[in-house]
This record gives sequence, C-alpha cells and structure tokens, in this order.
Amino acid sequence: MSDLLNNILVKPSQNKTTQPLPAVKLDLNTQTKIQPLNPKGRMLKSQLFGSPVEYVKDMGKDIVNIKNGAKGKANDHELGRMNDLAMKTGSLALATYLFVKNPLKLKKTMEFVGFGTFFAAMALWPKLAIQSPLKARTGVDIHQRYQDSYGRKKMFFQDPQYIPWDLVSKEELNKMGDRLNIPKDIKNRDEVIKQKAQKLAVQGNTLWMLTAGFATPLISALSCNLAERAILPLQEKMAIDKTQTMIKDPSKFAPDFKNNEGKKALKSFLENNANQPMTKDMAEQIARSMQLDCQLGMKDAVVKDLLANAAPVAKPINDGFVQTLFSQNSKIFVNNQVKLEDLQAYIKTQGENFTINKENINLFIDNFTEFLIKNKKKSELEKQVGSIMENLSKTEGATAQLLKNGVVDKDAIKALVDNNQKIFKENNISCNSLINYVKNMIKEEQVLDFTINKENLSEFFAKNQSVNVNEKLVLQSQIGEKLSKLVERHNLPKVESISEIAEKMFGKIDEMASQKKVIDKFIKVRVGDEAETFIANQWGRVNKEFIKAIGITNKDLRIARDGGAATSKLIADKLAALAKDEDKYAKAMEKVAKEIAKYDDVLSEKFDSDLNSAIDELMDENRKKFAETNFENLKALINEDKAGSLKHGLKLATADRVLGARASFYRMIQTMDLFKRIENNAKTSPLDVLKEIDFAAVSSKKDITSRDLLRLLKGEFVDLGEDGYKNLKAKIEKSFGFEYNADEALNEYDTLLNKVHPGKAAWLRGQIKVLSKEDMTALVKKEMGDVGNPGLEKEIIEKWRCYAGDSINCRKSLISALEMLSNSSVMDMKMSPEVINSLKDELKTAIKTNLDDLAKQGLLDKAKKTLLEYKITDHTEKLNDIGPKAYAAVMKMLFRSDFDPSTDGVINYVSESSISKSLSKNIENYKNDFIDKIANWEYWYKKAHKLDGTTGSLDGLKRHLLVASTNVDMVKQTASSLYNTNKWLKMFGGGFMGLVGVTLVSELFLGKMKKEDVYAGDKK
Amino acid sequence: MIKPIGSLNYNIQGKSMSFGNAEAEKEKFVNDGLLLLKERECNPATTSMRIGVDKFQNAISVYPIKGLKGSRNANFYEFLTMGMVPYSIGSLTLMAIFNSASKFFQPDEAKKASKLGRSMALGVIFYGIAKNISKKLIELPIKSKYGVDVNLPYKKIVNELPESVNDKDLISYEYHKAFESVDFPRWDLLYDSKYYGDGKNSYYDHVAKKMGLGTNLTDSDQIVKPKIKELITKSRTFTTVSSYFWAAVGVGIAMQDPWERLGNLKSDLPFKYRLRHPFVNFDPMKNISSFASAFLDSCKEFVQGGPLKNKAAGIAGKALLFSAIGVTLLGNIATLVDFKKRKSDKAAAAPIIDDAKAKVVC
Repeated sequence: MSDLLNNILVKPSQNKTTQPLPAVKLDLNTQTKIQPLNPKGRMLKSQLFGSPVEYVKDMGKDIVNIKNGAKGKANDHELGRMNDLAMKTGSLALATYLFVKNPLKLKKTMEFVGFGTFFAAMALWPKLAIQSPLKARTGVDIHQRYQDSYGRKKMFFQDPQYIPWDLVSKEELNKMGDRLNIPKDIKNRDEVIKQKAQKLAVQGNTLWMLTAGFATPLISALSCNLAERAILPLQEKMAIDKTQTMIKDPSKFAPDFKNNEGKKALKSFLENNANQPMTKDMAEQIARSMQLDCQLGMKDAVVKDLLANAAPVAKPINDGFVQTLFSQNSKIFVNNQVKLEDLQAYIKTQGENFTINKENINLFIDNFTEFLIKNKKKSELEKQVGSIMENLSKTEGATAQLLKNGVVDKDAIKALVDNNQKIFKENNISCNSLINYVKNMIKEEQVLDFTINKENLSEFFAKNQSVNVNEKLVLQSQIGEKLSKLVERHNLPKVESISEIAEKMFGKIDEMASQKKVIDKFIKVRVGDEAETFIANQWGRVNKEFIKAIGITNKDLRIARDGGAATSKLIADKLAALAKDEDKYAKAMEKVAKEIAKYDDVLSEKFDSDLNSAIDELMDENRKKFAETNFENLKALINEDKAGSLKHGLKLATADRVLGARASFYRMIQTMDLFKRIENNAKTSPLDVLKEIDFAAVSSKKDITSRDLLRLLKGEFVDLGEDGYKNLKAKIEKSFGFEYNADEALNEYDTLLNKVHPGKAAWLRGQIKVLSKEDMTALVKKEMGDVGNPGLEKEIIEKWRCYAGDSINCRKSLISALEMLSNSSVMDMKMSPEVINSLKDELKTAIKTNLDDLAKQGLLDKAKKTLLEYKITDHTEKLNDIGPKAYAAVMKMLFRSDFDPSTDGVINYVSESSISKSLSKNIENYKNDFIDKIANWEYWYKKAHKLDGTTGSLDGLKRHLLVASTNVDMVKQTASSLYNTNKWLKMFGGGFMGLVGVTLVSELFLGKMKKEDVYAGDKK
Repeated sequence: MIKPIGSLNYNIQGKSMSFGNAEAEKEKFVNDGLLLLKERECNPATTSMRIGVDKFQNAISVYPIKGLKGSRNANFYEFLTMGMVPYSIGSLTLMAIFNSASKFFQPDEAKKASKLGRSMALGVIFYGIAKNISKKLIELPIKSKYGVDVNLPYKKIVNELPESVNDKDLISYEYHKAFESVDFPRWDLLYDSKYYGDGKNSYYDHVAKKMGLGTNLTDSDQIVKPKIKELITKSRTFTTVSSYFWAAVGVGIAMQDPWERLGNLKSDLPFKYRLRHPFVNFDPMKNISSFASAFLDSCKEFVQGGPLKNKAAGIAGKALLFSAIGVTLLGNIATLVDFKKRKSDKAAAAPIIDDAKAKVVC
C-alpha cells in the first residue's frame, strides 16, 4: 500500500516535463467503473504425476519463500509450503551423513534410495491407493488442485468448509452428478452433488490419514528390499569394470591414493622432534608416523634405512655432557671425592674440542678411572706427605737435600724410603723410582740442587704412585658402560639431520604404495575379505542357486538354516530325490555349474595374469626408482623375488582367497554327483573300490579276544551302520554266550527300583531315556534319597547303564556290554577254541552275506558326510574312525573316480560355453590337489590313513582352503538369510497387501448418502 | 458463524477436550474464543502438553470417526490434526519393520537384527524429540526478549451444523494458536488482556516495552503488530528449517555404536512372571545412567567418527551438527538482533503524510 502511495506522490515531482498534468475527468458513477478484479482462479489439470518442470518450478518458489520468510516477508500459504522443502532438505542431509558414515557401498547407496522411496511412498500412496480408485469409481478427484487468483496452488477439497465450487461449471457439476448416480429429477441436485463430493473427499482424506502411517514405511522398506537386489549387481559390475581400467595403468590413478595424511603426520612429527636424538626408538616412531600400509617387512626396512642414513658423528664434549655424566654417576663421584668442578677441570685438561669416539673411548675410560682413583687419594696423600716431612725433621741423619751439585744422594734417599717404608709401599713406590725422579730433575728441569719439601714430595707421589689394578677394574666396570652409552647418545645425530632423507624416503614409498593401492583396489573389489565384493556376492548367488536347484523350498528353509544333522539330512534327501530324475538332475547341475562358472569367469586366468603383470610392473618400476637411492634395506625388500617376499606376498594373498571359495563351490558339484552315482550304482558300479577291503584280516586271526572285538566294533574296521551292528551284536552275543536282552534288563531294573522306592520305577524309567549317566546318578540319589547300600546303588546305576546304552544306540550298548565284560576281567581272556571257531564262522558268514552290503552302506554314509558335513578337523577325527582301507576307498570314491556321465556332460558343456572355459579343468586340478594335500596327508593320529600310501606335500593353509566350507554350512548361511528375508517379506509384504485390500474395499463404502438426504429438497 | 446459544443442554462432541469445571465452561461458550494466555505464562509446558494430549485423543478417536462418516462438519483443522495419526503409526510401523521379524531369526542373526532395530527405534524417537525440542531454541529467546509467545494457544468453540434432525447445538472445540496465521493473526484476542494489567492495549504495551519501543504509547498495538508479524514469520521459517536438521542430528546420534552397550532391552523373563514380579531386575538408576552414558558416548562418536576412526563420518557428523546449530543461530540473529538495526530506519519508516502539519481540506 505504501508503495502505491509513494508511486502516486513521488512520481509527479520526478517528472521533469514542465507540461501541466492533464485534467482528470472524474466519473462519479463508480458502479460501472470500479469493480472487483476478475477472478483468475482456475482448475488445474488433474494428473497423477506432476511434470518435473512444475516440480522444479515449485521447488524454486519454495526456496524463494524460505528466503523471504527469513526476512519476515512471507504469507500463510508460503509458510505452509516451507515444511515440505525443509523436510526434504533435512532428510537429504541425514541421508548424506549416513552415506558417509556407512562403510559399505551398497548401504551407502541405499541411504539415498531409502530417502527417495520414503518420499515417493508418501506422495504415491494417496494417489495410487485412494485418489485414483475413488476417481475411477466415482469420477471425483479428491485431490483435484486449483490455482487461486494469486497463483497459489491448492487442493480443491482441502477445507471441506471452503470449497471453491465457483470454479466448477454447471455442466461439469452435472457430469459429476451423473457419475455419482445422483437422480436427475431432484430439486436441488447441485447441492446434493456438492454434498456427496464433499463427503467423498472428507472420507477419502480421512482414510489417507489413517493408512498413510502404515503404508509409507512399508512401501519404502519393501521397495528398498527390491531395489537392493537390482543395485547390488549393478554396483558390482561398475566396480569391476572401473578397476579393470585402473589396473592397466596404476600410475595414472595413483595420485588419488596418495597418503597425504601420512605426509602431514610425518612432517609434523619431524618438526616437533627436530632436536631429539636419532635413536632406534625414534626411527620406529618416524616410521609409524608415516602411516604406511605395512606389508611384509616394509616398516622394518624403513627403520633400518633411517638408522643407516643417520650414522653417529663424534661431537665435542660440552658442559651438558659433563653435567649429565656427573648426575648419572653421582654416587661414584662422591665416593671418589670428585666434585663437578673437578670433573669439569679434568675434561678441560683434555683440550679444546675434545671428542670421544669409538676409537678413543677405551683409552679415555682408562685415564678417567685413574684420575678418579688418584683424586680420591689426594687428601690421603697430603697426610702421608705431612707425616714423611715430620719424620724427616725428627730423624737424625736423614737429610732433606737429595741432590747437591748434580750428585744424587742415594743414601739419603734410601734412608728416607726406609724411614717411611709403610707409606712408600702403600703407594707402590720403590726407592729406585725416587732416585730416578731425582735424576730426571737434572735432565729435565736442569736442577742441580734438590731439597725435599711438601710441594715437590706431593708432586712426586702424585706422579709416581701406581693405582691398584683391581680397584681400577671395578671402577671401570661401574662407569664404563654408562659412559659409553652416554657417548653414544651424545654422538647421535639429531632428528633434523634425517628429516630431508625421511621425507624423500616417504615420497618414494608413497609413490609405490599409491600404485599398490590401485592394485589393492582391483583385488578388493573382486576378492576382498568384506561384504559386497564380487567373491562375497558370488558366494551368496551360488548358494542361492544351489538351494533352489536341489529343490529346497521356502518351507524347508526353517530346517535348512539350522545347520545341524537335520540340514544335512535335508540336503541328502533332496539330492537323492533329484538324482532319480535324469532331466531334473541335469538341469539343476547346469544351473549350479553355470553360476560357479561365472566365478571362474571373473577370477579367471586373465585375472591372474592382469594382477601378476601389474605387480611385476610395479616392482620393476620401483626397483629402478629405488636403485638411485641409498636405502639398502628397502631396495633389498623390493628386489627380493622368492617365497615370502613382498612381491610373492602380494600375489599369494589373492590366490588363497580365490581358492577358498572355489573349493567350496566344487564341493557342491561333487556332492550332487555323488548322489547321482549312488543312484546309478544299480546299473554301473563305481563302488568297486569296496572289493579291496580285506575282511579276511580279521576273520583269519588266530586268537580273538574280547578286546579285538571291541576294537572291531569301535570302528577300526569299518563303519557298519546301525543295522549292521545290530546284526553283528546278535551274532557276537550268541558266540560269547553273553546274553544281552534289553527287556530282561529292564525288568530286572524295575524290580530293583521297586525294591528301593515303590511307585517311582515307572517314572524313573521314563527319565532314563533322556538323561546322561551322571544326571541319572544324581536323579536316583535325589529321588530315592541315599539308598544306604552302596552295593545296591552301584547295581542300579550299572543296570541303568546297560539299559540306557541299549535304548540310545545299539552300537553303544554293545560296546558297553563288552566294557562290562572287561570289568569282570574277561576282557583279554582268550576265547575258548569252540567260541572262536563259532565266532569266526559267524563273522565270515556275516561278512559274506549281509555285512558286505552293510559295509558299503557305511562307507557311502561316510562319503556323503565327507562332502556334506566334514570340516578340516573332521578329516582328522571322524574320517579316521574307519579303517585305513575304508578311508582310502572313500577318498578314491570322491576324488579319484570319474564323475557320473550326466554330470560330466553338463560340466563340460557349461565349461565350454563359459567365457573362461576353465571349469572342468579347474575341478580336475582341485581334485588332484585334494588328493595331494588331504587324502595323502600324513597325520600322526592315523598314519596309515592315506589314499596312495605316499606322503603328500604339506601346506597347512592350503589344506584348510581345500576342505573349504561344508555344504551344510553354506546352505545354512544362505538359507538363514533367505528365511529371514522371506519371513520379513511375508510379515510386511503380507501386511502391506492386507492394507491395500482393506483400503480398496473400504473405498467401496465411501460416499454413500442416505436416501432421505438425497431427496431432502423434494420433501420440502 | 457465531450462533446464539439456544439452550444450556449442550451436546458436546469430544468431552475429553475440556478441562476446568463445567460452570466456568458454560460461561466461556458465549465467547467465540478463549485465549490461554495465563495458562501459557504460568505453565507453558503443561499447557502445551494438555493441549497436545487432547488433540491427539481427538485425532485418534473423534476426528477419524467424523471423517469416515463424511460428516458435513469435518473441517480442515480436523484434517490437519489427524496428521498426528500417520506420524505416530508411521513411527511405530518403522520400529516394527526393523524389530518384529527378528524374533523368528537364529539367535546370532536376531542379535544383529535387533542391534539395527534398536538403532532405528531410537532414531524414530530421537527424530521426534529433536525436531520438537529444537524449535524452542528459537522460540524461547523470542519469548524472553520480546514477551511474544509465538505458540500462544486459544480454544475455539465451533457451533456445528446438525448432523441429523435431532441434533441441536452441536459444539466442538478446536485448539488454535493466536499467531497461527501471519496474514490474519487473532489480534482481537489480545486486547483487554487482564494478565498484563488493565487497559485495552495492556498486552501490546508489554510487548512494545520489551521491544524497546517505549512506554505509554497511545497506540502500541498499531506499532507492535507489524513487528510481531515479522517475528512470527521469521521464527516459523527458521524453526521449520532447523527442526529437520536437528531431527537428522537425532537420528545420526541414534545410529552410533555405543547403544549396543545397553544390552537387551527386552526382558528374558516370561511375560506372566514379569506381570507378577514387575520390579525384578528393575533398577531405574542403573538404566538411566547406562542410557545416559550410551547417549553421551554416541554424541561423542557422532562428531568424532567412531571407534574405527572413520574421519569422514566425523566430519559429516560435525557438518550436520553445525548446520543445525547454524540455522538455529541464524534464526536467533534474525529474530533477536534485527530490531536494533531497524531503530535507525525509523526515519524511513515515518509516515509519508505528516499528520502533525495542519491541513486544509478543499
């Protein structure tokens, strides 16, 4: 308003024309001239999805609104619209944060997908589930939008109390009425139409509010679930393609991988520690500050090279050194009565710029200890000299004049020495040395007369006294080591001397490391030990394909995810069923093999060669670069080309990862094939290997003891399976005359229990089946109190043991029966000739007749379990509980016999049609490797268990990789996640479908009007 | 709109909305609106809470029924209030999506799933708390500096149309805010406010004084109204934008690892047992302190990047937090600092027509 006024009031004065204003003719008939503006409101075209241009325009408006709002200039409509944009901005900020926070690529992407789907769901649900169906049924678009005269877009039915019906023409209203089935002949038809439309809108909007809370998160979550499946392979392919380009020229992409943090950290560390001595510890700290991607001795080499480039230099001894020396050895100095000043004075006598180095350090220590000892004796010496002088004055005939006119008075000297013998001896000074001293006077000092006095006597003593060797050695050992360490430290160069070299070294290493990181990325994307890599994804895909192909249904997943014996049985049953149908089997095998072949396609020979050539190139290139430097250790590290070297380490790590998954996959193919071969056994006989088992070894034995039998039964011979043991047990019992009747034992037991605790017997019998021996003992005691009769108690438990053994497992019961025999000292008892003979006969017959089959079955069980369940540890334990021959038979059956023809056909076909064409060859290699590393593995526990009798090559890690994951484990993992996803989908997918159903059905009831309301106008 | 009350036999829809005694209520019905100024001044939190509870009760009971029936009395206020429903159901659904299936999972996977589930559930809760509380960071300073309560509520009594022939004097309540609309604030309700003393303009005098526009103004309302309008617009803009940033911060904090420490929130004891012994294993102090420590560590991790020292996450966390703080501070500056500047603009704002000068009308 004020703007308007300003315009009117100000403009004329600005008008520079001098012409008078034209006279305005006022027409007072305002009714014709002054009218409200024509309304400009209009209905907007009804459409499900707004155009993107509109969307961007509206968003632009919203941004302007916020800008205006911040200045305090926005109206209600504008403020109301802000929320939408603010919510999107906040959510986008959150998605960005979570994107950065999440380490996994897929999860990163999903943050944005989640953001998108949530808002999409929020917008789409009312459109698709409410607006459109209602419009289809009634013709009323409850979310119809219109633009008001100010250009603001609003919902037509937004406020039921204010619906701008003016915008709807009479014609349109009538059409609406027709669609709404409003009778044509009523009086106030228009009103009724409006009422019904309004009612529909209110009901529809309420339904929207009630359902949106369920629908939005559900749609978002469900679509994320779907999107994840689509995005994962896409992302994987992009990463693989990208790194494939990178590996061709690592140096081009290396700058992105430079270790700038390490560079910064190193620089600041060097600056902060510039004045520190360059010790080994310091070198390690410097190496650490470089934040190297330390691989195979890199850090050691850096430390060594840093130290080598910082050789110690002898430096002049300074005050600081003297003070440290003094404070470090203060005790010794106090003992020797040396003060700091004395020490300083002594060092000064060594001359200006005196240095200690490796060469002169021993001499210095020698002199220094002497100085210390002499210093200690100084005061003592004073006393001694005093007493000599005193003696001299007292003694008659002795004279102080030892040299007179160039003649040495030897007698006087002798007298002097004799009179003070004790002192001279203490100082290790002979008479001759005094004579020599005096003689020297003539030579050196050109003195012809020499009279002894306190000063020169002291000087003489100081010069000629000799130090006690032992005392000197002790002192040397006390101070020597510390002194040499101090010297070493004193002579160490400072960190600043190495700074430039360290930075240069870092630069060289980083150049190499950043290239290596490009290669690492290439490796990581394919076989990295983390989620979302090719190997991890393919692992899941093969497992899924296997589960699907062998016919594990969604219902079976519950058992499949368990991972125990039940899962094993489930897989076995499915495979056995599959093997019966040739076509189905071939199809299943093809599916599984094709998925496995994809693994070989990516991790093919090309992968190996690309990788190896990149590594070779990297090492070669850097070998040249490092050749110019004097980093000998680093050079050696890079030049090395043998097992355990940096180069080999890089190559090997990948190979191991590839093998681990590959072996797990091939194990699946083998299992499928084994079941097929077993199925086909009726026609061909791949199990001929069994014939090699020497059953005669047992039957021909002369003296059979009960121990032999025990061993036989414990499985050193062959796993007979449950039924086999039952039969054998019966025969043995008969032969031994040891009747073992479960019913009888039970009756006996009951009688016993009843004796002790009438009425409890039946209950206890029920408990027996589930309790262990220890628990049972405790239970018996608890329930019956202390029986009070140890003999009886033992009897109960023993009887129970017998009974329980039988009820749990026939084999166990037989073993326990034999063990009972051993308790009763029958164990090593030779059987009577009759018994042996009868037993031999029985055994022979048994083996020849039904045991043969049973033995086969037992071996087949082992073979199945070997693939389905056995881990590496089971190869040492469970597989060895069968005899060596049986072991060899199983191994041969699995790893040395040909595939079933149908398997072979499929594998060859898949192999040929794959890119790498390597599947069948790889399987063959794998089998041979397995025989070498596992089947011929010499294990201390059972040395004889080898396929060929030769000893295979030893490689612990490879052994683990070859045995790989069991079928059961693989199925378990994937089944578990499939089960979870299914369960979740069932719950929420079902919930969502229910919601859609309820919403759509309830829409059928919307807009119903009572007849009396429709005809209300007519009644009046 | 305003209808005379025909009889005292009120048929009140949604009885739960009223509080206070019945006699006093009857008195108030004659007024179109009832400003809750005193209640807000004395107990701001509880008043808002009571209104919130009332609105929520209606949003889940009365309004949906009215809406589904397609009542002629259903209005935009009710539709907006029903907006609480998708918010609450959505929050619960979101929690359920990440939590309820895990009970069918294998134990180790259930553990992993429940970790994520807990983060999501906490995220939903923190989202709501942070979004709402953060608004106070802008609104409270305005209240303390200018005495303007941007959320000042009033109770509106709506006389409804009869739904059937037998209906008489249908009445329903609505809770609105005096400054709900910046285009048409309920200035009328603010006249004759007894709370700020006698006089028609007591409320406006109070605000003018606090705004430093002087006392004893002849027409304080006219001076203050545009300023309040501006304040409302600004605070609405900044609270809207900042609240979503704070909500994002809330979710970010909920996504950190230290929450794992809280252990299993659900009790392992069977339900029947818990019913009989509700306080077994119940140690509120321990729970509160472990929650507090997990919260503090999560905040730390949010800005530092976590145990794996994810530097980028730390930077992103800081960026998010500082944006939230930044928008809030901008809001404070825009609402609190601007007025002083404007003082110098007084001359510019002076009326174009100087009414002090004598005018001759021809």
